[in-house]
Amino acid sequence: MSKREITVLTDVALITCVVQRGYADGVIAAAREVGAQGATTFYARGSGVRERLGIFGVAIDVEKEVINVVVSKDQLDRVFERMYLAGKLDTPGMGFIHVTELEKAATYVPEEVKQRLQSSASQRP
Amino acid sequence: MCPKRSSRDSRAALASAPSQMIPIQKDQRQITAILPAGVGQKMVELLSLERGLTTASLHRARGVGIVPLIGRKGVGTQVEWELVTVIVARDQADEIFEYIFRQGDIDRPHGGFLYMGALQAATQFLLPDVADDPDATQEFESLSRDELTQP
Repeated sequence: MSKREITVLTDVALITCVVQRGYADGVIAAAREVGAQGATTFYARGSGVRERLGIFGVAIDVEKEVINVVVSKDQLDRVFERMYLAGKLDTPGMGFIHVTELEKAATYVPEEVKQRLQSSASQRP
Repeated sequence: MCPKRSSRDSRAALASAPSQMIPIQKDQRQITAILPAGVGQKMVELLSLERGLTTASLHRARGVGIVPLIGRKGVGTQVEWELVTVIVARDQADEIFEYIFRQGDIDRPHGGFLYMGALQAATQFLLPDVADDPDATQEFESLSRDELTQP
């Protein structure tokens, strides 16, 4: 079997967003509206500001959803901003978002997309 | 009630920690693979058995992305994925990256996604040496696979 070459994607970043349970779908939809290709979500249990708010912390749900989105650096600021606003992260206790720089990423890239990228790269001065 | 601790306290605690006692490893990379359900567990086993990597961990997530629409619009757009995270030294990171890409069969439509980033620092993850304890080894070997995988 012939080995296909790995098409490595560089200039990518990982956006991680922690929101209260039930908010992830809205945040993902907002990210996709501005060009994010996909996202993964999983549940987590949070602690921190909850203990300081409300009676026994009932104001803030202990169940969190963690969203991971990998985006190109060109899209990073736009996606980050939309996710921040969609998650209402400017409200205390709503959540938290951060960006991790990635060295490289890889996935299935269809042949026609590869050819398009190669031709646009060769046309560049 | 959790004790309140400011970030200044945390920094002070870190600064006063006996850093020469903690075996910190620099130049580590974190590789994360988003794999179809069922592939992740096999990947963790492969990394352990074939590459001797015990720093792999697995959790499940639901994914939203370019997936085929099944039936009515919207149905099937969320699928279950397994996320495998492994910490490796920088000098073997590229090799492990390629290994996961090929063994996980990522190079196919809906095959998953793989990414790698640098870590600031990591400690070693050492397992207890059960080989020195014959009773423990015998007990471990007598366990069936089902017993070992039961939570």
